[in-house]
Formats: sequence, structure tokens, C-alpha cells
Amino acid sequence: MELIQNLLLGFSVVLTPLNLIWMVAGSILGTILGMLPGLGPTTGIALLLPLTFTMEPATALITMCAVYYGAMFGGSRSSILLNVPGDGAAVAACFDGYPMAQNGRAEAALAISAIASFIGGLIATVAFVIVAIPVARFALRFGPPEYFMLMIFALSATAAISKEALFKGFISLLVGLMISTVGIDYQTGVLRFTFGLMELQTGIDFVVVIIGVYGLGEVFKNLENIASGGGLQAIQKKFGRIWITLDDWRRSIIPILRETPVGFLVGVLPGAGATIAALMAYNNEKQLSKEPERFGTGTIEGLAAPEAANNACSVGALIPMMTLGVPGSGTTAVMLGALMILGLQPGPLLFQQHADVAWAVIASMFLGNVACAFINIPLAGLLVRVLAVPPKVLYPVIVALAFVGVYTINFSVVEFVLLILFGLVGYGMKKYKVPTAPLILAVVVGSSMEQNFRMALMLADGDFGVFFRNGICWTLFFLAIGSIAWPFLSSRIKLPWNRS
Amino acid sequence: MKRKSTLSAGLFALLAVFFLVSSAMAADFPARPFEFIAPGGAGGGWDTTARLSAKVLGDTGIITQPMPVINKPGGGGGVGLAYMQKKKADPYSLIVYSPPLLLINLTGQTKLSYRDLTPLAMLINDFGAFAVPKDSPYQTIGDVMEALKKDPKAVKTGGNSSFGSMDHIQFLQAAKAAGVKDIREIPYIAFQEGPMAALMGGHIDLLSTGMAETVGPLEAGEIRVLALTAPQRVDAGVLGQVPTLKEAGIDTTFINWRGIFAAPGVGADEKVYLTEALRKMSETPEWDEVCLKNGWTKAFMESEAFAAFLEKTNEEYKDLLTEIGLFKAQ
Amino acid sequence: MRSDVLVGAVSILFGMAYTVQTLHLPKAMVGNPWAPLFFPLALGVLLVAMGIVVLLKGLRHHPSSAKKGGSKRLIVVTILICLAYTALFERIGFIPSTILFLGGLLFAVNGAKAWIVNSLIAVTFSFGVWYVFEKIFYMNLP
Repeated sequence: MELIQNLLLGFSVVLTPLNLIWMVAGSILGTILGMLPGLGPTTGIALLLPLTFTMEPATALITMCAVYYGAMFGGSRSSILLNVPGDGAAVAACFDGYPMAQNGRAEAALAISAIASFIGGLIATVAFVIVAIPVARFALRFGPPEYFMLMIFALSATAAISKEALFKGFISLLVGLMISTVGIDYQTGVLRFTFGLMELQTGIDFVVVIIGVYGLGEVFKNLENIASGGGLQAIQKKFGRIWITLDDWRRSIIPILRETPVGFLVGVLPGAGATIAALMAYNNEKQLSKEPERFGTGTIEGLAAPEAANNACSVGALIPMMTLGVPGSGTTAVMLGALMILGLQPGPLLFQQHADVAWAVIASMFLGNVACAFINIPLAGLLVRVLAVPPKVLYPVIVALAFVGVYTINFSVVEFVLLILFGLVGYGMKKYKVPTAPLILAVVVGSSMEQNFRMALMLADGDFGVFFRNGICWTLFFLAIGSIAWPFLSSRIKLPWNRS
Repeated sequence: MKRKSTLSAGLFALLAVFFLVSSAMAADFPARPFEFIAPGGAGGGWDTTARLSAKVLGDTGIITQPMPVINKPGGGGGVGLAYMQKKKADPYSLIVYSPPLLLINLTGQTKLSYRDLTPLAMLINDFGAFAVPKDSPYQTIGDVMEALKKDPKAVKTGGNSSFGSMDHIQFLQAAKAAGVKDIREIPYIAFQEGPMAALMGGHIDLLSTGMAETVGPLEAGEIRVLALTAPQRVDAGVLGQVPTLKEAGIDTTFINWRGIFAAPGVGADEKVYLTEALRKMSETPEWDEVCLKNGWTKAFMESEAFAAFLEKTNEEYKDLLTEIGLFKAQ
Repeated sequence: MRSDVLVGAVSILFGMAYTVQTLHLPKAMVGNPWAPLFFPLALGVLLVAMGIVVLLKGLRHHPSSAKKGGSKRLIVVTILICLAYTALFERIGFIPSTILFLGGLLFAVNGAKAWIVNSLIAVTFSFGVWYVFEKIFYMNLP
């Protein structure tokens, strides 16, 4: 019952008016930052850094976590309404969220996105309380060979996404991997495909790719429509309550529960991330679905699954930082830096030396998720009205927003040129029916996949056996094989849940 | 129509006033806001240094003009360096840098070098640490070097960021000073993220990293830190028990310095003014507190001495990079 | 299927260009000099191969009804305006260039008749975004 006592201690710290105010403020700031394309939780936390200097450690940490969850909740708003992902993790919300909004179901889409995020975050927090330490220990067993296998598994799942256009899907995948080769090669310091531009040395930020391919690509398609005299009506004029039907519940709840652990586990691994979690969740659900062909046309479970997973992932990502003092992502690295400035040293000792702070953070995860859900549902009621704007006005504004957002990634106009380029690529892919999901996933995992492959070989002095050195590798390998074979097998084998 | 013309007349008047005011004030420096450039992303080391020094300069009233921090990330700092070239002789643009400023030029990532900036002052020092997993067979840094002398491939080292970057160079410098022959043969595995996790998981044998990163895992007994690259023992916490390279019989130090630069061709008066402002700042108790909280060692060095230091360090790096075949003459 | 032929052809061309570029990359100074090249080379060759497969598939199925494409006028205009924005952005600063950019896009898409609405949106958007970034997020725009 020590657990309950600790939690009570945590809640007692959080439940002061000051901390609650900061938590809500942080959630709002995070939600807004998350919604804006290009800006994300890292920016928010960096902005807060000078401010947290003057705060109590617990307050500072609670505020930072609130920004972090807020951004996860907010990111998918713009995916659903405008097809412009607010950040990488929200890209999967474009697949079914945007079609839902186009079909006049924006309210349900926005609602399920908040609900799924909420449930995902809450379950992951419970998991955090119970299994944080053993899970963090397990994550340490992932070295370069294991990461390589994980990336292979992540990519192989796209075979299912592009079953209808297998070869075109493969082309999309290869182009994505090619994009990921731009920049400095970590292992040798060689510059690849930078064309003399210093801005490209750190590689092409994948947020530019997704805003281009999805956001701008969609705008181009619609401009063609408008120029041909169509698409003049606003998508939706009357708006209902931001909520979902009982049928929506029934369809979504299992995917949410199923994909939350996936997101959580991916989050714990330093070096994977929320984008991978969301895309994996989407692929899984498509593969397990009775009607995979409905995915991509605005099916609610296709939105619920990645939303639950990415929020669970963001909770999971705090585990290595809090329990081992090891940051697993850019955002948690900034948080770690902030903690050290506050005189706290995250790690196993944090729970002994500063139990009040550590448990306050955990308690704030529960409350933060509630706060985010409460902020997001009414906010969605406001945001959804953007669909009443006539397309002729809406699309130019989306273009401007995309440009501003992309600028804030690297503060350089090189990103503008890339954005236009990827906008055209996205438009072309849409027009000639090349699936875009493999490209996005490849951009996200490409560099990590190649580097981990070479790192593993360097560690093993060139012995390929290293890729099968333990059970984790074998498990991931079989999962990869399985996910490639599954879409072809499942249509032949009668499974109990396939009989409808 | 009439409304429009009054509006434009008003605007014109406003602009005129603005120009008058700004030209009248040009006599005394500083007369307008500065821009403080961090050549990396928000939340990184450069960004933190820029934000905190701007804050202290403002809070203590040493510089009353606003100093907003602007991020110019990319090219390992090269983008910021190129940006400063556009600001030639403009004393209102400041930028913060550390050893990568020298390295990116030596490895050919950019043609520009530290000579294309006006060094104002060095502010702080930070040091590197070499860590091993808790169950590592190596008890001292000497053990590691002995193993490398027998077989340079025997120890798999790792660090954050790419081959030829700071983490890599600081270890090579130590290995060279210890008498390891083929330092280019030493395997260096470059992690994009999570090198500490890789060390704790035992995937690499030795991690070359910054001092601050090791504190948490060291306190928790997850890793052992064999040596620091500092010239003398640090006096704080667990790291106080870690020997320096010199104490371990390896006669070298590696300083991760951070300093402030102005654009090239800044006038002598402005340069003196800014250097003095930074000197005053580094003597304030506020700055002491910032250094303490961040684990930085205060190390003020004024403009001329800083320039000489840069030249000397640049030569050292050049020798090392030549030895591993990464040096590219510009 | 016309689209398959096109996708295949573009992939082959891009794959070849990428492969040639790869061969011109600098070699590594340490270890295997070809280490940074293997992965890109494999990608280039695979893309060409996939391009050929898709091209052949497309040629075998005889062109059905080629779908009539819409007018590309607005897309071309939008891209031109975007390029102009890229050129002007850092020269004349955020607010003027964004007013021109968004104004231009709105005039092109929404039509010159709605010039009041267009100008109003362009100006409000530019100042609004500028205000939010500079004053709330403390981020500097040119």
C-alpha cells in the first residue's frame, strides 16, 4: 500500500491552487503550440525555461509536463481539420481524421481524438506507476541491432498499408528512405546530398516533409478543383455537439485499449518516438480490421488507435528520463536539462531523495490528462468552425500557415523551397495514387535504421550474426515477417473474428 | 479616399520621426536592441548560454537595451556563422559558440572559421567525462589506454553526434596523450540520441560525453566515471571523487569553452564596451548562481587572450584531425 | 493505366539520378571508404528496379479512360507566389512579405472582386502571427 501512500503524497503536492493554475496554463500553451504546424513541445518547454527558474521544482516540472501533453492533444486538431499535421506524431490523424471531417463528421473526429488521447494517456500513467522500473531496465537491453530490427518491423507493416498498390508503395518507401539520407553521415562525418547548403547538413526535418506532402499537397489538389469550377462550398455550415455516438464508442474502444500498450512500449525505448508509435498503431489496426479497405476513408477506429498510442508514448517517454536519468527524445532531453538547473537529478535516486517531486509529477500526469481533455473538447467546438470558411479563403490561409510553421523549425528559407517541393510530390502522389504513408514512415525511421545497422556491425566487428543475438531480435524479426505475410494470409484463413 | 490620404500622411510622419530619433541616438552605443544568436536549436547548450547571459545582462542593468535570443540552427553551427557574415561591422549582433566553431571549419563543413568573427569574451568552461558501465573490467582510464595500446580496436567507444565532433575529439586527444599509436583505428560509434542508455545497457565499452550528463547515472551507481578532462578536480558532488586525466598520468586537458562573439569588423570602441559589459556580468552574484545551477565553471577571458586561446586550440584540433584523416584544408 | 506508366518512368529517372549522385559522394576517411555509400546505392538501384516493374505493369494494361485533369492554373500561380515569398522573406521582413504573399494568394484564388476581405485577412493574419510569435513565444521573425 506504499504505492497508494506515495500517490496520495503526489496529489497533495499537486493540488495547490498555484500548481493547478500552472498546470492548466501549461496545457493551454501546449495545446496551442501543438496545433501550430512546426511548433511542438520542445519549443514550449524551451520557452518556459527562463520562467521555471523562479519556480518551485515541483511546479516547474508539472508545468513542463502539462505543455508536453497539451502538445500531444493539440497536434492532431490541425491534422483533422486542415490535413496539416501539427507535429510528427499527429500525422496518422490525417489518414482517417481528415476524411472524417470532409465527410461532415468533424465533431466526432475531434471528440474521439481527445477521448482516445485521454484514455491512452491515463492507462499509460497507471502503467507508469506500476511497471516503470522493470520496463526501463528492459529498454536498456535495446542496442543498435535491436533498434535495427525494430525499424525493420515498423517498415514491414507498411506492406499492409499498401497492399492494393504493392509496388507503388515500395517506391514511396524507397523515396522516403532517400530523403532520410540527406545530411551528415554520423558514423563517418561525410556530407551526403547537401548540395553545398549548410542548412541541409542536419538533414531534412520530417515535419517539413509531412506538412508539404499532406498539407500543401491537399491544397494543390483542391486548387485544381477550384480552378475547374468546383469545390466552392464550405465543407460544413452547421455544427453539432463535440461528441461521439454509441456506435463510434463500440468501434473505437477495442483499438484504443489494444494500441495503448504499443504506444507505451515504443515510448519507453529511447530512440523510437511518438510518430513511430502512432504509425505502428494505425498499421496494426488496419491489419487486424475486418474491413481494412475502410481505412483511409474516414473510419473512426483509424483515428482512435494512433491517437491513443501517441499519447501513451509520450507518457512512456518520461520513464527512462525519470527513472534512469536518460533522456529518450529531444523533448525529454530539454526537460532533463531544466531539471538539473532546478537542482534535481533525475534517476533512481529521484524517488528516494525527492519523493514529493517525483510523485507529484506522476499525480500531475493523471490530472494533466483530465485538464487537457477538458480544455480540448470545448476548444474543438470553436476550432471546428474553421470548416465554415469558404475554400477559396481557407486554402490560401492554410498555405500561409504552413510557411510560417515550417520557418520556425530551422528559421531558414531553405525550408520554404523544400516545402514547395514536397507539396508538389504530395500532389503528384495523390493524383497518381501512390500511397504516402510508407514515405512518411521511411523518412522517420530511415536514418535511424541505416545508422543502427552500421553501428551494430561496427560493434560486432562485421559479424552479421549480431542481428540475431538474442530473443528480442528474433521476436522482432518474426513480427516483421508476420506483418508482411498477414495481409495475404488473413484473406485466406477464416479467423473467428473475420466471420461477420 | 480622404481617409486613405490622412492615413498615409500619418504613417509618413511616423516614419520620419522614427528616422530622426534613431539618427539622433546613434552617437552613443548601444542605441537599439541587440540580437543574441544561438547557432543551435531551442533548449541546447548554446541556446541556454545565450538565454541565461542575456537574462543576467538585462536583470542586472548592465545592458538596458533588449536582447532577444534568435535561433539559427543548422550545419553544426555553420548556419549561424554564415548569418554573422551578413552583419559585418554591425555591433548589435552577438553570437555564442564553443569548440564546434573550430571543428566544423577543420573538417570542411564550412569554409568560414573563427577568424570570421570578433571574439569578445570567453565566459564559461565545461569538461568532458569518460564513463564505463558499472560492471566494466576497466577500473581506471589507464586500463583503457593499456588495452588500446595492445589493440586499438579493443575498446568500442561511443558518443553523441557525429564522427569528428567534440565527444570524439576529446577522447582521441586523451588517447594520443596516453601514447596510443593508431588512434584512427579506435572504433567510435556515433549516436543520434541515447548514448547513455547504450552505455548502461552495455552496448558500448566507453562513453565520451559531457560532465553534467554523467552525474545522475553516476550517483545511482549505474556507471563509473573513470576520468574528467578538467585541469583540476571539480569541487562539486560525486564528480569530486573522479580523477582528472592529469592525475591519472595522462598529460592533457580538454576544455569545452563557451564564449561570446560579435560580427567581423566591429569597431574598437564597441568591442571594448561589449567585452567590459560581459566582464561586469561575469562578476555579478546572479551569474555565479547561473553557473552553479548549470554546473558550469566560470572562466572569464577577455577579447585578446580569448583570440590567442582560439588560435592555439585550433592548432591542437588540427593536428588531431589530420591524424585521423578528417582534416580538410580550406 | 497511364498513372502507372508515369510513376514508373519518374521513378526510373529519379533512381538513376540519385544513384549517379551517390557515386559522386565523398568517400569515408576511416574504415571502409564505401561505408556511407552502400545504403544510398542500394536504394537507388532498388528504386530503378521498382520503377521498371511498375512501368511494365502500366504498359500491359492498356490505357483505359485517361482521367481528364483539371486546370493547373491556380497551382502554377500559387507556386510562383510561394517562390516570390521565399525570395522576399528575409529581404523585406516578415510583415510586408507576408501581407504581399497572403494577399497575392487570396487575390489569385478568391478573386479580385473580394479585395476588401482579401486585404483585411492578409493584414490581420500577418500582424496577428507576428504578435503571437514576438510577444507571446519570444521568437524573432525577420
